[in-house]
Amino acid sequence: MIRRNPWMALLWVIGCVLVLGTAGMQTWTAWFYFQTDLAVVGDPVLTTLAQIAGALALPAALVGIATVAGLLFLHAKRRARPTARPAKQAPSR
Amino acid sequence: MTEQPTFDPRFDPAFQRGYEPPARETPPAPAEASGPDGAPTVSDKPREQPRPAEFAPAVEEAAAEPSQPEPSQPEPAQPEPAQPNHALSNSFERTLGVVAAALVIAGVSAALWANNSNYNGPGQTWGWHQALQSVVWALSSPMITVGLATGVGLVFRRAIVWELRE
Repeated sequence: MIRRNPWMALLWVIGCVLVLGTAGMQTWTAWFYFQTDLAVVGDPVLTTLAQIAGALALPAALVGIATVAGLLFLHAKRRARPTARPAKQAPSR
Repeated sequence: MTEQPTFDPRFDPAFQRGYEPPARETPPAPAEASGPDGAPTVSDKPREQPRPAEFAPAVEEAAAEPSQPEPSQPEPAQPEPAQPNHALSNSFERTLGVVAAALVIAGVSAALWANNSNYNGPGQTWGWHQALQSVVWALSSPMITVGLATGVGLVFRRAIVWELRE
């Protein structure tokens, strides 16, 4: 039986957080800019957070999707390994 | 006068061509050494051959190591092949982690600066400030992307190393 790889579990968490976090950040940013009158100086903290979210959204989505894709490759390699690898042979002398 | 064979000092002469153990070190086994029905006894175990004087300290050090529970066992004829270094962490990995964090932080800071300077800058007049703002804004997103990808790549490396170790 193949043991669970803790680093792959961590990667799944990172990938899901990046993708779902991007969706959440974009939703909040869109709502924030929709509600805020840009002609009026608003809360500087919220404005800065909105800018950070806007800067992180595209890279986070990109890396999150790439992480999930890489994990699928890793799982495929892991599943194919028991049959694809030839049996070990005793060293001949 | 016979020419003495030269041995490579890096390796045990017992395993090199031309080595002949001294006659006194290989006494014939006594006839009563074997037990009833020819079963081997403790005295039938292969004995460690004494080595020349220049290798005596190494033998003593090896015997003094606590990881060898049976010092009377003969050493393997061939040294074990070098295992690939699957260390989880090395200096390059730590450097990559620092680079990843720096790229993400610098990218977010650049995006914040470019965004704020767009509103608080000198205005519509073209100058170095506008050019720098455009360059920084263009670089911020790739910097964040590469930084995040580097961090995730480090975790991928650990996952692959873990697979190789198992």
